[in-house]
Amino acid sequence: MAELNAVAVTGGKGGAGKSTIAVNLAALLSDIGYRVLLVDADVDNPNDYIYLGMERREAGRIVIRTPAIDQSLCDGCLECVRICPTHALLGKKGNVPLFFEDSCLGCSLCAEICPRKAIKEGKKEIGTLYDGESGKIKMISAAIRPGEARSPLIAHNLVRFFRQIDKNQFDKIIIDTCPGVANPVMQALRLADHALIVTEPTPLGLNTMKLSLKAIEKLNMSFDIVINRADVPSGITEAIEEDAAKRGARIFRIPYDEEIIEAAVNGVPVVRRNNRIRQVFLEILREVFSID
Amino acid sequence: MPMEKLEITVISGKGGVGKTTVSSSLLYLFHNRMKVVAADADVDTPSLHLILSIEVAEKKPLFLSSRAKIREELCSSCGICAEKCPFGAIEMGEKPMVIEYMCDGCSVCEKACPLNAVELVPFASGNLIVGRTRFGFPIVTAQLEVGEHNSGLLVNEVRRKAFEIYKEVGGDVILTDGAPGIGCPVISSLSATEYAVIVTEPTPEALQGADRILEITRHFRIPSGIIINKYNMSGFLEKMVRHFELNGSRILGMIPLDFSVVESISNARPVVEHKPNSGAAVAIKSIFDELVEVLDIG
Repeated sequence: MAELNAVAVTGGKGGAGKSTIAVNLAALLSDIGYRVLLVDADVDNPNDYIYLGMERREAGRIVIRTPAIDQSLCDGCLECVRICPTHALLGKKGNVPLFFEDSCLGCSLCAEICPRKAIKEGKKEIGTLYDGESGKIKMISAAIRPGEARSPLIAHNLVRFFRQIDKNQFDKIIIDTCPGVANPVMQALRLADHALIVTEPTPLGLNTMKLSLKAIEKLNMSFDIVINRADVPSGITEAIEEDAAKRGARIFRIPYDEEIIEAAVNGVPVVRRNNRIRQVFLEILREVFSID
Repeated sequence: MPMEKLEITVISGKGGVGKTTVSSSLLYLFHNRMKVVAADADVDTPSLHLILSIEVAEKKPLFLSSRAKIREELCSSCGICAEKCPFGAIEMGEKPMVIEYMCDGCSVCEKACPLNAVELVPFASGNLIVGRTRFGFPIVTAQLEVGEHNSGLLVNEVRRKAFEIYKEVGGDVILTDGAPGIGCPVISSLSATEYAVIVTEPTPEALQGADRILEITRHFRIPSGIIINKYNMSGFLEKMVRHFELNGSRILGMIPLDFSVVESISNARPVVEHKPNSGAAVAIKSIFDELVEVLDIG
């Protein structure tokens, strides 16, 4: 893994441009001949495939094991209720326990402890794994099922999917994370050895960048800063630059350009149609990936 | 008929489409007309307080989480805890090691350990902050510790506190600014709310986010209305509007792409206050009127 450059694109603020940047880095790398593994780890909204105009395929269902109680065998001893870590099983002594599916983590401790072997394995689908190809890019992603609250479990399944992939097939790995600094972000960041923190020149961007920096510090990772829409007048760009300079991070500035939006709408990475933006991404490749 | 509570939750699915822009302006407009309480449910990366500014009255750490700790003297390194952990938070070396920022505190390891070598230690996963905005209305916000993901519980605490204040002051409406995404904190933001305002923008990526939110609001039977922000930013608008019409979704209104919004955010003011005659502010005011009518709270 040491030879690989695995770079995570992250940032506290939603809509700052994480996916745009991840996808364009992947596209540019692919265009100049590198084999890229793109991990879309925004498990709430994995939409890198849309930005790439890629057909994604279902690569697997994310299923947790839930208890299915055989009523004819259960004597209501409540051992399962006692062991359930999340109180997904509740009941009165002598009665078959009630099962609350939304709280179940799928740990199977209930089935293992049941003295009468009355708990069989049920299944609950909480999300989907996807993959797809475009040029020299292979994309993998995972999506939570709407209405499901278990994003960390989805992220965990994506990490497992990632680990099964033979990394020798790829020259570079790009990981696109969720916004924020919660567990799914941390799981994704752990797959990388360098982070690009994407922000925008607003007080909200500056504030959330500081939160991302805290997360990166916990992981002891190297990082750089990407300011998206850097030329939008706000008076904050300088504050971000000052903060980044203090920490010894490099700063890349992506200008506001209507073509970035058009590219997102049409599913064509902007580096393929706009030379000004392409130059900034080439600079990132040079500096971060040491690619000329 | 008086309701026990009227809460409006502003949500988007995709981040960065303008939730806080809309929330801060709607709060300002509500405040001019009735008694409003603000709640920031984006506990990962709260930002409402940056626009409304907050005079903190109360800040308290919340012990909502616990973390696994392995008592090495009892551990035989059998590895069951690492194998069982649903969050991949225990790494097996010579001894099992808990990766703290990944532990959910679910207690599977504690209960699975045959030697009772795991204990759960409570810790503060975030702070609950109660205060007043510079406009004078109350605001409840929170800040999650980095890497924590009991954010749903913290969201519940924020909303519970906001409801408490709402009852205390005889409020008319609670406006809750939601988190991006569709996971745990979002579901916690939406459960038992009275109305969802879904903010989106005309791109396929934002439409996918809005659609995923609509699946949730339909599932929970929460009435909702859509705001299309930066509606003139792309040619995708027509497709988007047709899509919502086919779904029978209500569009509350549209806001033009307007740099007054960026300027207002940079000045830490709601756009309806900072640039009341700008295109965006005028559009938000008419959306507010529409919302008041839909909710029948004029």
